[in-house]
Amino acid sequence: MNKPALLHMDRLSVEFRTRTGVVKALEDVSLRVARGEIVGVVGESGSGKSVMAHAIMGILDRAGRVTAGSIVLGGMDLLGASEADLRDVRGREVSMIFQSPRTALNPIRQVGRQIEDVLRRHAAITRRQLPRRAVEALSRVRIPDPAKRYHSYPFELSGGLCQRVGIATALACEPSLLIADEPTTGLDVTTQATIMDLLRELAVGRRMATLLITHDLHLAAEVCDRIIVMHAGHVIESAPTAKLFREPSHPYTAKLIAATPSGQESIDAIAAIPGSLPDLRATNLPPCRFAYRCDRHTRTCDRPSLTLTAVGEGHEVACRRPL
Amino acid sequence: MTALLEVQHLRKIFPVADTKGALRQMLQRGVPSTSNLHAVDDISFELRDGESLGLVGESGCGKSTLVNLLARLSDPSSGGIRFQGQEIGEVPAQRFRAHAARAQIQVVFQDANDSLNPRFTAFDNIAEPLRRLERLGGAALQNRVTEIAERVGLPSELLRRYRHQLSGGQRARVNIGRAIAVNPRLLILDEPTSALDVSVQAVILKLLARLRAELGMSFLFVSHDLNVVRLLCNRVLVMYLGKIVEMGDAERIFTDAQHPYTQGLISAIPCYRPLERTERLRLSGEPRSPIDPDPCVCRFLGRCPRSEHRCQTEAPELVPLGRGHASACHFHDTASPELRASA
Repeated sequence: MNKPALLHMDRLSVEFRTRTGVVKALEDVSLRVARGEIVGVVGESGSGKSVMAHAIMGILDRAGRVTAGSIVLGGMDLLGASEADLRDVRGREVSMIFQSPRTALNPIRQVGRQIEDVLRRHAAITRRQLPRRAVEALSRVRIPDPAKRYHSYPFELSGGLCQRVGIATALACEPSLLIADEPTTGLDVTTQATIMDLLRELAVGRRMATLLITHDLHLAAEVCDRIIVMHAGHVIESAPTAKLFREPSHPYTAKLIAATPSGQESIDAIAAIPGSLPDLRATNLPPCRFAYRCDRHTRTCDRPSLTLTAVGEGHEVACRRPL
Repeated sequence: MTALLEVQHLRKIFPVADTKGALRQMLQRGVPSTSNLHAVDDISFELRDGESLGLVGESGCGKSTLVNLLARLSDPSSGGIRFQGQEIGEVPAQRFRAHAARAQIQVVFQDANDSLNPRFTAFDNIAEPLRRLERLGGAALQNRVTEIAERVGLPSELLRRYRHQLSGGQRARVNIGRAIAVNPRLLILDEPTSALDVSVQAVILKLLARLRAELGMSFLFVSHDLNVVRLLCNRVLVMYLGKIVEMGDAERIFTDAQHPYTQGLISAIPCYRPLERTERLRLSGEPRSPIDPDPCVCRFLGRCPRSEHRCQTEAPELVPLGRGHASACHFHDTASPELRASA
């Protein structure tokens, strides 16, 4: 973690104002991603993974507001930047792959054209060069017969191909940071495997930094160098992948690992996590938002100002009674 | 174990219009020429009483079409479906709802959100099949629904709620409750946990395993999550482009897969393997078209790492390898021990 980080998110808090109260979606979330590193963000739905991605991209919903913290990408303060500056950064420095490939693409525009849109905005190339570069972008994500696919519309492509087009679009200007929000949900395992291989290759070959958001712990384990576990808007544990699996320190991480079928055990061996996420609109949330669901909870856990504390090399946990 | 469900040479073919120049063809010949999409192509298997059979394969391989055929929601193009010794494939889907076997085969559909009626309370959703198939009403209905809710672990106060007032896990419970309400012999589960978080998935999987043991049902479990299939199923069918390419006991499929497609599928399961990050079998290329497939070509050709001359001239048949294990490939790298012993 001593490597100079490309993305530097410090104590970020995000709130959403809704009719029924203020939702504290993220609280004191810190994160660093270095060049060439793949960092996984895992957690249940509602834990704030996507809100974090949207905050980095500067595309939070209008009801959302960053109430504290900072996001710095390669020396640039993203939260203080003007919308015009952000438009320059998005697509060129940081790109995002969205969850459902079909809805992320324009249904009535040829996929090659959609890649050209990004290139035209950001890359210093002439109009004549555009089609060639778009085809190159398609072939980089190993789409078979890219010159022909250039003219395809999204409905003519399979889900896996659509997702690859989404990735090709995101990578067209060779961003330094890629945010992949559940990039393979709804895709087949075989397609998922090839897309993950591609992300790995780009991290190694082009030193691209990747933030992989997923609810699939095993998927994160397979490709990520480091994993961050989120629960109800908090980062509760952050560790190198091998360490997280070998010695999970937070009770929630341990339960998440135990709840995920991994192929060998019997049905009795997988353990459910009782309860659900607390209501983030509540005004009196406990310092540890896992307290309601935790079987190790004692009065010590209710003391205020719980922070991430180092328990080993690059291993941090936010728990008063770690395992 | 006797066979609960026997499927013989089942086919479902959808005619698709040849859209290129369809208008011109119509003007010249009166009818547009049609091509045929072979969604389910000559499938035979049996599901034994009390068994939990897994069905895996990529999207577009015909899993859902097969489920619809077996649940008798659509009519097969040819072939037979025998349920408890009785031929049900010939009963038109429209009239199957009045058939005695309707209550015996129930489906838990994929998305618990989409498959519940938004204007029904949880109670009504579970009561619907009881009202329609068992003509229950009044106190008897009330008691049965409460009993089912208890069985699937749904607190009875939630029965008054509507779909949008329930969490994902609770919806899954209502969905399962509705399917088991009429005491089916065969429960078809179409990706029942794909929309759930792992924390909830674990609870629902345990619930399903318990219900199967308590009620003695058979499962046909369709899933793309092979780790889940391994947990819940005794036997597995692997489908590729409308065909069964491999079937056998779950443990054998997972530890000793013979078909290259199954091998690729298993090697693609994401898994924490600290020591071996590289050297995994990867399937490249896109699947062949299911429209008018060439009967003399292996359907896996183009993605198969073997792809030899014989694969382009002869489609492989499903060959038994002993102990209920079968695979459709010309090249079984390692003949199974029994086969080698008998040879």
